[in-house]
Amino acid sequence: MKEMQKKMQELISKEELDRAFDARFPKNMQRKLRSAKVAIAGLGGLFCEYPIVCEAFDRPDQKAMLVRELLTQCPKTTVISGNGMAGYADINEIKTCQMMQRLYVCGDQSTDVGDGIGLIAPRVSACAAHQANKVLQLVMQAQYE
Amino acid sequence: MVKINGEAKEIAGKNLLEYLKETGFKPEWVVVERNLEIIPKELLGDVTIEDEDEIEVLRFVGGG
Repeated sequence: MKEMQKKMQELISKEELDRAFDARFPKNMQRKLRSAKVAIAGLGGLFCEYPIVCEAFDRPDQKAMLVRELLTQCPKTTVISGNGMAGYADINEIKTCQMMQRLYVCGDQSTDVGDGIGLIAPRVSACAAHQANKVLQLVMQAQYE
Repeated sequence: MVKINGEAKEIAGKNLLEYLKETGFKPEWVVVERNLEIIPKELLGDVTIEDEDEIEVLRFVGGG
């Protein structure tokens, strides 16, 4: 990865890369980039101000922890979780389901990277698109209520 | 009768944590909602399933 980054920096400057990255987002979109360890204590402080949170952790115990604590500590937050997206099985198995009052789950809810199947772009992208679409739906519903 | 993920089961009186383990769930990998309340992981063993309980168990798998 470092070699690839070095080669890219020979072809294009960091400033140009940053500009290209920024150009992907609408000008009126607010973005905050934070690097933090997510733990049970203090989780509310990180997330409770947001009406919608998407979960995309890798480990199942961490996914469960985050979803459980968001639903418990942030009573005004709706959670959209990605669950089951590994491999290259039928992409039509990727679905969005409302599992609890404030929880939507996107994925097939069964295909685990631990089965020796890695994460491969098409299904992961489909799952991410499901999560993004559900965010849009919820935002637009709230706007027109 | 108890409903678990929409299915009716005769499990009133069972301990919730033991039921989860018997049915192959790892407690660390699930989120459990009982009668619209999320049960903290550390309290799963304190819950006795009651008649007419409605329980949702969401099992997570790896990958994100």
